[in-house]
Amino acid sequence: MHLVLVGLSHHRAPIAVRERISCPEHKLNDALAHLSGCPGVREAIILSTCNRMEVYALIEGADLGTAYAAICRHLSSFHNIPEIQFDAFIYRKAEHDAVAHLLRVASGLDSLVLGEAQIIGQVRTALRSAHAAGVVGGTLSHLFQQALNSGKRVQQETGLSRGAFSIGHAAVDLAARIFDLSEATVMILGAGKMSTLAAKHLVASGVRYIMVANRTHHKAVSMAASLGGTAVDYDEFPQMLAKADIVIASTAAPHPVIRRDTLTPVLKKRRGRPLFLIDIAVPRDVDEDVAELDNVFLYNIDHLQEAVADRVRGRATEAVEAEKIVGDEALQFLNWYRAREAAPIIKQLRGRLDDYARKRLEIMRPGLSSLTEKEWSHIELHISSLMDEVAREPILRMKRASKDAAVRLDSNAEQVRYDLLSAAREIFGLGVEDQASESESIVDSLPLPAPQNGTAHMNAVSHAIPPIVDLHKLEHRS
Amino acid sequence: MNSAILTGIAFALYLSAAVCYGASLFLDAPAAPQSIGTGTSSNRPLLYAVRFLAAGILSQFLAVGANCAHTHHSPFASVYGTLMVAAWAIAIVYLAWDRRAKMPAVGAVAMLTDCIILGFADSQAHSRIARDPVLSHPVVSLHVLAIIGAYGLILVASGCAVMYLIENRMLKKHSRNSILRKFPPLTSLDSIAYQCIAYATPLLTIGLGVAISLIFAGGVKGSPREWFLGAQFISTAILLTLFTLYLAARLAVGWRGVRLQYILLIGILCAFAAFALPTAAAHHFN
Repeated sequence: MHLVLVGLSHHRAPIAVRERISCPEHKLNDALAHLSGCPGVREAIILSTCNRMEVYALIEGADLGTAYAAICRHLSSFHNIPEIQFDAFIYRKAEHDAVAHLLRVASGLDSLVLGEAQIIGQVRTALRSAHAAGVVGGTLSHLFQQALNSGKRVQQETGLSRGAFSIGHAAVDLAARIFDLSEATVMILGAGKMSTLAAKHLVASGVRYIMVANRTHHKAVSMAASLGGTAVDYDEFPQMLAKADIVIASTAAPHPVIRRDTLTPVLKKRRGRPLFLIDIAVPRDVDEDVAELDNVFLYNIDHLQEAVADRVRGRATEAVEAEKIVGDEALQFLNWYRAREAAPIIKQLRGRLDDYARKRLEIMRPGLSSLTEKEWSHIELHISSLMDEVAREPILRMKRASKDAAVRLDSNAEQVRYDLLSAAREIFGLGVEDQASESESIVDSLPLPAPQNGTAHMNAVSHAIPPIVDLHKLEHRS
Repeated sequence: MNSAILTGIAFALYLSAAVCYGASLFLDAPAAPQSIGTGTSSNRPLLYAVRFLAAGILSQFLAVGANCAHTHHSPFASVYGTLMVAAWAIAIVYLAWDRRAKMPAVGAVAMLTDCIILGFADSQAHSRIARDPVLSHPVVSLHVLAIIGAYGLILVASGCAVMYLIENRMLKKHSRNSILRKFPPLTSLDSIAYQCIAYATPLLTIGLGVAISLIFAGGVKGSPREWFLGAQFISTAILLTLFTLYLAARLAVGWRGVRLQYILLIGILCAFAAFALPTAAAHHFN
């Protein structure tokens, strides 16, 4: 079973690639269903934001290379894009690397805008969507919860997100370079969360005239009412562009809704008045070549985020604190995760020894029919103690091994895991059964043989057994 | 007090104002997100800049007065006096503007222009004073004043046009250069340039009209043909035509944006040509 991550982000993938692989909310269910249909996928979560597209999956019965390839094939076939077009931008991580990565993402440490807070909401949405689609189990659910905890702790315990300078602020900052905001007219295209936020910043900065166009008109009406603007018919928005100075585009349309041919007649009517297009949608709402038009300023999500990143540099101290929190949370998860791997092995080992004991007693019972029930229960107790004694040390060592492996967040962790857990499997001939619902608590609750003080314990048991029973003879007879 | 000393004081005050306007751009930290648009933060260098500017205008007024008292001539009877009035006109125009819209970037440019003009004036301090009595005539003074006022406004408008084009280019290229934040908004630059030209065009018309009247009335030496075919007159006529077109495009057709700024740049080239090209014989301080 492998915990793997395959994704691409703003670090390497340009927006032109990201928008082709992005998975808007309305497509998420289909994508998850498609992904869960891939061979070996036990659990899956898709985290799709304007900056990144990441697939987290728990894959069974395959080596890492095959697991990565399965996810890449899913991305290619679901988004209808040849693998060669995105392969160079993809990163692949597994086990603790994938865990550490998600925790850094949720804490805003991997964001272009260091410490941005919106990512927590996006991680939560990804988890909810996977739950709703029924493709997530205990492991990924626990991982994402841990990531949310990490994000919250970073927000609360460090100054990384304090005084955040968001996309909305950047939009206002840039708009103020072009217009006297009190005179500018803003058009909001697509009543999404991001556009609402940006519009609120503009209103707070003095913008008085706002138009809202949305495909669902009643949403436009309610948003316009909340911003003190007017709703316009979505079909009329190209004509209304002649009146707008600032356009915030954030629709869920899969293709650009503002193209060069849409703007050419509008610009004639504008007679050289500047037009500021803020495209915060992924996939983009505004065609790239629109930027070449005179008096048109086009800023997409990457441009805005770069502007924001410029303003939030110098948070190195907070970032170091945040990294510590992320490390701590990652360790907690890995403890749980490794313990969860050890649990079925320990359980099987105990079960196997108990089976041996039970079978041996069943063989002995016909030859010792003269024994009373009381004597027989003494024998059972004695054999059970013997099994405890045999199992105690291996179980203790396996428990310790599972935790030690989690502590060592380096390449040796895999080796440690093989040496102790895998060796136990091989030596005792144990298979791996269902792991999905196990947890650290399971390991801790597994019966550890009672602390025995060697011979003292044995003596205590021996004293409880009547002297007529010679254990060595019993063994020989059976 | 000596006119040269007063001019020197004015120079120092304008330079200080330019420094303060520049400093206000860099010391004025970007507003915190929460307070964007409130614009309530006080800017001390800006306050000093306005004071230096007002003191400079006063000092220059005294310098022009001292010069007139010393020469017993109109300030326009010499290069030195004319340049002093030109610098003074720019300072007054900008101060009037500063009351309406705080644009320290434009202020810094205007004050540096003043310093350059005063520096040039100082180098001409011992230039000849025209003996031609026509130059002391009030009508000629009106002509010179109108032209100087118009040139002052054209300089400010051109500065705005240049800033507009730089800012436009930087915004187009998504430049993150911090200097971008120091510039006024594009629409404000466009509006200032327009207002400058809206005042400069009538002043230029008055100045040119007075000159034409004087030429036809025979008040100046030289034939009308000699005057009207001179490079200076032609470039001034082109300048006036350009600005008329600019105003028509803006007011009648509603044009804005980049193209208008290019018209202004062509205009400033014509203005320099009118200033630098060989002039008619009578258009000299002699």
